Amino acid sequence: MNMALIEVEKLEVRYGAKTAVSGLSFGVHGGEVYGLLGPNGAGKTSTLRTLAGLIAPAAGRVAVAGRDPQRDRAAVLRRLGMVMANTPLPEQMTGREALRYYGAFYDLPDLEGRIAFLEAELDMPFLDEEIGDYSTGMRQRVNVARAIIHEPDVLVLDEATNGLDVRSRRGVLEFVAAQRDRGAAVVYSTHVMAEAEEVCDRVGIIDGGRLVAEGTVKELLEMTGARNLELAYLELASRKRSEEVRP
Amino acid sequence: MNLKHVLNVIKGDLWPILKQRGYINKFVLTPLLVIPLTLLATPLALKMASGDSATAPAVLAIDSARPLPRELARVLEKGLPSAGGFLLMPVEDPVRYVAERKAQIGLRYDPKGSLEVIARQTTVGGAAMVKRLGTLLSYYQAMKIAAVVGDSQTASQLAPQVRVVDAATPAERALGSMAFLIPMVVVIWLLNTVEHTALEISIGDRERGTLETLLLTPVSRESVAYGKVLAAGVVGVAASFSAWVAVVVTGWISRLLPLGGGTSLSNLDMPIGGQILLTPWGTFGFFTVMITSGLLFAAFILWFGFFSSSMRDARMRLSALGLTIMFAGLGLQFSDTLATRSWVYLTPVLNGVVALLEAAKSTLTPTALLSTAAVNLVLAGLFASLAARALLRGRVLPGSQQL
Repeated sequence: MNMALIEVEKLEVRYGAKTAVSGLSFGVHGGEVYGLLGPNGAGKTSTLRTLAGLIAPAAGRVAVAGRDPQRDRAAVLRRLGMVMANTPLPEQMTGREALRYYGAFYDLPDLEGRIAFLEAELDMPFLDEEIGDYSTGMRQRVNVARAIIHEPDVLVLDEATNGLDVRSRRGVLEFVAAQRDRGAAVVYSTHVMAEAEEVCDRVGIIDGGRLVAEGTVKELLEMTGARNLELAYLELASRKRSEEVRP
Repeated sequence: MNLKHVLNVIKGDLWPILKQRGYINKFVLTPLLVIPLTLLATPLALKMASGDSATAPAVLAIDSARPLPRELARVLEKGLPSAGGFLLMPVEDPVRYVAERKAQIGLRYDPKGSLEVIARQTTVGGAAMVKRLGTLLSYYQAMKIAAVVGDSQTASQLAPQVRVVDAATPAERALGSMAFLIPMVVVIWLLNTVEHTALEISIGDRERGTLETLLLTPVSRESVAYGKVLAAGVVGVAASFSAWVAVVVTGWISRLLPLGGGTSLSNLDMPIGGQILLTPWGTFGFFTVMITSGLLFAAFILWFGFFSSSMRDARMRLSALGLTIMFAGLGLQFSDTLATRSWVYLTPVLNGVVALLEAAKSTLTPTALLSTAAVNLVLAGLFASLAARALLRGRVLPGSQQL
């Protein structure tokens, strides 16, 4: 397999006295979807924000395409696109204006052409309406377009299907698969196990800021004897807790 | 820092503001209505409250040793449709009578033909009395000359100048001039607009989450900070420009009303006091000071905003700061008679108020303008850099505030 585009080694993230992520390590290669699974508050978002340079790690190492997001923030963000749950966009702008605004920071040779391509690709006939009038699904499509306007080879999706209807959710999952097929390294964070089971090549299960288990879906199912990822997750989390209470 | 990115940040901040009609109405169009109304209505209300309207009888003290010609006395007592008459009061010393407020205005007549008007010139009522008496004297003189040359048009051109003696006390002069009102109005409008805009595009952006979305692009944090300072500065300068236009228009309107008004369209007296002398240098100085002060306010508030926990917290702290500046400005009201030291131009905010006053009077020196602009720009750059450092340290993003 080619070199890992995302490298996380012994990552620690702290908010004051509280440790959100502790000793987390994983890597993601091009053409691979890595699922980061865990309950709310497990440390998924904190981990992903360090990838985009929004948070500085308290300890450990994070690299995107070999670069440190804190030191080479601009270079990292030229190769990384990030979609969060309900990423806020300026309400008074139209979708097209927002894409022009965010897209202009990438100094693309043909921004208008790229917007037109994404408008057709992501089915956004509403692009000239104000974002304030958009539904959650419409906003998320504009957000996806914003995140991939510069054709990044690293894509980070954090609870990207939250609040979406069935059709929009399906669209996001198909989009993730398409990104993998074009060679991008994708980190897909979710607490919906069925989604991860469908789209992820490998998954890392985190709980309380620590990596509980890692492997392909098949490996995790074999490891636990569970019939689906949700049951496997519950089993792994319960094993971890019983290890923690053991003297 | 990438200039193209800075311009894009400005565009991204200004575009939503320009699309909000309420925002433009509140900060740019409102001064055009509120300032003339306030500056014109206040003296009118004062005049009405004191019964000192344009046509109500007023006491005119005349020198008992120099009685007025009968025809002049008749004109002054009878008045004209546009200017009311006076109750003539012969006294020994008209200046003392006017100063002691026993008469609204005084007049000394020299049989050789010269006239001396005595008034508390810098007070609201005094200026109106001078205007009324001036109208009647011009009418009388034109009538007299017309009788000699037989041509009223030539007569009006030959009418001699009337000398005005100011009987106002120093305290009345300081209070009546209200000279700082003009820069105060402009600075307060500038501060208010910049504060609102800078908070909207700093804490507002942070609370809405759009700041984080912006920081997911490869824009440098310096470009974000400088772009936001310039965006808030542009809105503030637009608002204070509007306030300046409103003050000038008030001066022009007051020329049409019995409220003083100055000697020409470029030398304007405000009805409530204060003066604007419109010259190219003064106007250039005024706008240079406004722009640099706007950038300083914007940079400071942006930096300050990034360290505030919420919009409410920032507003509470800034309102205390705003009041401090207002009180300082009100204190400066009386500094018109003080000598201005060079250190004033090196003191932020104070330099802006003093320099704007001098620009309005067209007495601003190049050194004072350069000092004011340089101090404002250096400090604006410093605060913008501090704001960028705050972004670099990740203090401004939700979830990272506790770091």
